[in-house]
Amino acid sequence: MSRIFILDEIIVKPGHAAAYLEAYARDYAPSAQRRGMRSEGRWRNPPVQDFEELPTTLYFMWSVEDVAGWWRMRLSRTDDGADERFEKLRWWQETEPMTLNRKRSFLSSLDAEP
Amino acid sequence: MFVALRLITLPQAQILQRDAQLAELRLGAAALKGVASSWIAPALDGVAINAGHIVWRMVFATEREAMAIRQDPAWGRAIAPLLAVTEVTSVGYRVTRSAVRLAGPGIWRALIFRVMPEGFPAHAHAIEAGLMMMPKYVSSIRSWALSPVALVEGPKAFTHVWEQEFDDVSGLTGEYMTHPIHWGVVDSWFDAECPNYMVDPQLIQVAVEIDRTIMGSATAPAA
Repeated sequence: MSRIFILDEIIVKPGHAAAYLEAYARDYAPSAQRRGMRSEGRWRNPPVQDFEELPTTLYFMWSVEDVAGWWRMRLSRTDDGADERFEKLRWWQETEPMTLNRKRSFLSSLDAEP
Repeated sequence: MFVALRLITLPQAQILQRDAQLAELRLGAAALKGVASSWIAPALDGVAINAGHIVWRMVFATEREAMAIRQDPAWGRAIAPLLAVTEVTSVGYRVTRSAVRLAGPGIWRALIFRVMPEGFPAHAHAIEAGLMMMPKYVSSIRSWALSPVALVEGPKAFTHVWEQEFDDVSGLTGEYMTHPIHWGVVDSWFDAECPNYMVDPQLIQVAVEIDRTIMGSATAPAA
């Protein structure tokens, strides 16, 4: 099987997009990359800029190599061998006050189907 | 049909004597009354998560008999002394949703988990529906049962027991784990990164080798 894509759609409260992006780059992206996730792109809506009256939806597309890579990501461990899920959960819980909603989808390419 | 499933953790000093403990437990279990079937086996190390060392799965006709088993004099005589120095995690459950195919050797596996309180009832129903889709798509599952927990003994208030049988362990480590119904659909309730994460991370996965189907009512005799 070819790469598996992971799409995060995060609706950030009005006025919080810059802070969320900064936290994401500092605290989430490096650990995701350590888990074998490759960044495939980032998008925002509304486009181009934030509007203080409106929430901003941020889209982060990641990928992992295959199903085995997906499970390595899912069952990752910290450097000292502990289950990393508690660290992951802490990140999502700590940033939740900046958000209104979020969704994570796992995708496969239609073009890669047998 | 009511199942009493006990996962027994031996003290460090007794781990090397696990076979002797198994033999004594089987001997003691054979003297118990009201047990429709009993299966006592060592937990398979390679796939175990918080599983302990010995698995004891007893089947009773009703919950009443399961609850009364510790009043059996044979329990006090033979079983209680054996368990006194161990840690026991026990769940009791009525099996109502299952499909069992009588078959030969293989492995029995159970995932014992707790849906967090805020997950009831909507998420719990969704998790149950998702799990029950798996046997349709994962061909290595030859028997299955999904049961709500009615009795629990131990530090964790488990809510569900998800049991399957496979022809061999590769049915679990292979197709079961790699099918997209698992990692792409059902796992999200177990994944701390997904917004619908709703299952307590301290769960139990346990598997044992079986020489025939142990699920269902027409299974192994008391042993």
